[in-house]
Amino acid sequence: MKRFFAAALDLLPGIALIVVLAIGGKLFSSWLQAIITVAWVRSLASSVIISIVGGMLIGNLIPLPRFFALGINSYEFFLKVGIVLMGARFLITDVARLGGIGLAIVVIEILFSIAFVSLISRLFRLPEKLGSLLSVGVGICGVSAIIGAAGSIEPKKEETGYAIAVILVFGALALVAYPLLGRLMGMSDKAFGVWAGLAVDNTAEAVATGAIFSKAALAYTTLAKLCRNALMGFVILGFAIYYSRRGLAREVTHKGFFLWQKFPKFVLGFLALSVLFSILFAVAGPGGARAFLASKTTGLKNLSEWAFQLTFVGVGLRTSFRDMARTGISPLVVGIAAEAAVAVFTLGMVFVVEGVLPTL
Amino acid sequence: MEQKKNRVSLDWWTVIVAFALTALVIVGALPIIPW
Repeated sequence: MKRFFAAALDLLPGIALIVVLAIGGKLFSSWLQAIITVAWVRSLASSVIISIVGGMLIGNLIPLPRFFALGINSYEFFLKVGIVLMGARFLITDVARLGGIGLAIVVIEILFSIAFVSLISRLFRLPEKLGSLLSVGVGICGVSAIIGAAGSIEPKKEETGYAIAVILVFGALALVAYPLLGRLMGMSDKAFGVWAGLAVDNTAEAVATGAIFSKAALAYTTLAKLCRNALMGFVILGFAIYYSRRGLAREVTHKGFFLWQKFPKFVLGFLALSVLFSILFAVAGPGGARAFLASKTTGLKNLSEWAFQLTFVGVGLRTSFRDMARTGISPLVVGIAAEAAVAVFTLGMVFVVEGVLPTL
Repeated sequence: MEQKKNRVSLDWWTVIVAFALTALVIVGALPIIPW
């Protein structure tokens, strides 16, 4: 119990900072939106952009004391709580339909990313395990996939750091580049949302990219991203077996347990909440009960928005321009080539399947 | 070993917190926070 309180105390300053900045960012954004009359400038003053940019400015310009670090890094917790709460907004039948198509696209996307990144890593003579980590990061879900894979394929410590840095650099670039490209190409919320979910590596940055484009796009981004996250265990298992067969990593003994261990459990929470609310809505039928439930889902939607708002501030605070500048040239070149290839490839797939994707 | 058994992963905590919030919202113990 003592240790629990000590841990909570360590987290408190950083979390308090995130909460204050999130509320401040939201209020500042509402104020700006009220006074700006030009539509496209107003869209730049959204609470997502204000929170991320505000976080970046504070994180990079003000030397924050070390005791903030632990709490700031906990933003992933809020991200996942936000995603689970989002489950209440979707009918499980829609999730299954979008998820079915999504999983099929994601399998192709992952295979393409891994093949492409492995190939160009070899061309640029990156260490093989660094290449594998980059391909897992680009193919699936950024930082957590890299950390998960690092535990199984046993790369050098600096290779893991490198791979994470590359993913974070491109995450930050994606926040600017994707919404801009999406608008230039006149993409629909559905197409852009799925594209961002497929192509942006890290879950937090993917969700933020969708949210910057539009509220509607965010829903598609989250679902597409969850499909990628759900497949993380299979890809890591594949790499673990590949390296252990060549005597370069430990052997995987219980494959089923390995998969369960690597499965992101918050995806289950999201699905469970979606099932629960789908049943409640089906049982409620039309009338007062439905209106009561609708008000509750609005409440949960707002909570999920606030959880994302905390995440966006955390993403901004964590983005360190100094660390980005320190990343080596070769991994960055491989990163640029891989990200560009995945972006174009997934964009093509999105245009192909857009017509058959269900509207949420 | 005992500690390892008791350790619930971060992901499970996010699910627990989200479900607790959902329960509070449904029973009306948590007011609807405006966005």
